[in-house]
Amino acid sequence: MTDSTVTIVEMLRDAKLGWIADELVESIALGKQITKPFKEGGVGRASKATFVEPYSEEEEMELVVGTLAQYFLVTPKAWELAKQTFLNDNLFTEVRPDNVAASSRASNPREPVSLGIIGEDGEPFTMFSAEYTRKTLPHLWKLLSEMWPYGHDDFIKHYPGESDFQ
Amino acid sequence: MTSRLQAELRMALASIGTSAPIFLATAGVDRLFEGFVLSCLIRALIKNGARLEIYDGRINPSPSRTLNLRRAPGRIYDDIPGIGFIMVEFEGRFFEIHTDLRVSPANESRPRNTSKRAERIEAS
Repeated sequence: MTDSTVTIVEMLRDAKLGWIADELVESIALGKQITKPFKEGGVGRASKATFVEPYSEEEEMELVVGTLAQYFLVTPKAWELAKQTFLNDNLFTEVRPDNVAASSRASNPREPVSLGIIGEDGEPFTMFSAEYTRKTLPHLWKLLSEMWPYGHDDFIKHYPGESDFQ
Repeated sequence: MTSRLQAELRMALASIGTSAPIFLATAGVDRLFEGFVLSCLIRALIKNGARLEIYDGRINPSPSRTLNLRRAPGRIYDDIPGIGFIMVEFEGRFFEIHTDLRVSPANESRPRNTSKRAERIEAS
């Protein structure tokens, strides 16, 4: 692993995000699969074979930054899209199988539908604070775009634009 | 990576535990993605003519306007009002869409009342 990766892995562990650090270390240790021509004993007709090679420095940084971007930038955006889908008034309608008691309380169709996550204690789980969405997320986007090995413009092509996070 | 970038990244990562606790365990992030996949599924069902309604997670479920996903896998027959499912009517048949179900031995199975006719779909 490069010095930069070792530093980032250490930062993740310090921030109690060790599960991401473990995932990165494992992925980097596994290396990348490539297919290239291979001649057994160096003679005869070449056939294609699969090899495992270590990542280059650039590829390793792409893997690290890409992983952080997927978790910290893309996943919250995906959840937001899911919540917006559920808010669509026309999505849900009355569906009553015969065996649902006639006395079942009808839901109020004017009340917006909400999507959430419940913790082990049965209480709604806090996912992102306003501070994360307003401050941390755009800041992370900026930092990760600076760390992206192929430059800021290329980062924009892969991950949603900065304006989405402001 | 410059020392300035290192310092800023360290601070940003350190703040995640309090500003976005969902990231402290892999299970949390899985649920977020699951919610997204579920939203894609319901959009596809509606596009294909299905009708959908959210129900709560009681033994005798009632229609609800809130759908909560479990943070950890649970059993389909647990009487947890806060955790619901989606009832679907598609081509004259009823289905239930659940997320995060734990597979148990057959002798533990205890169907919920609406499930006598509805078939179950594990969305994740």
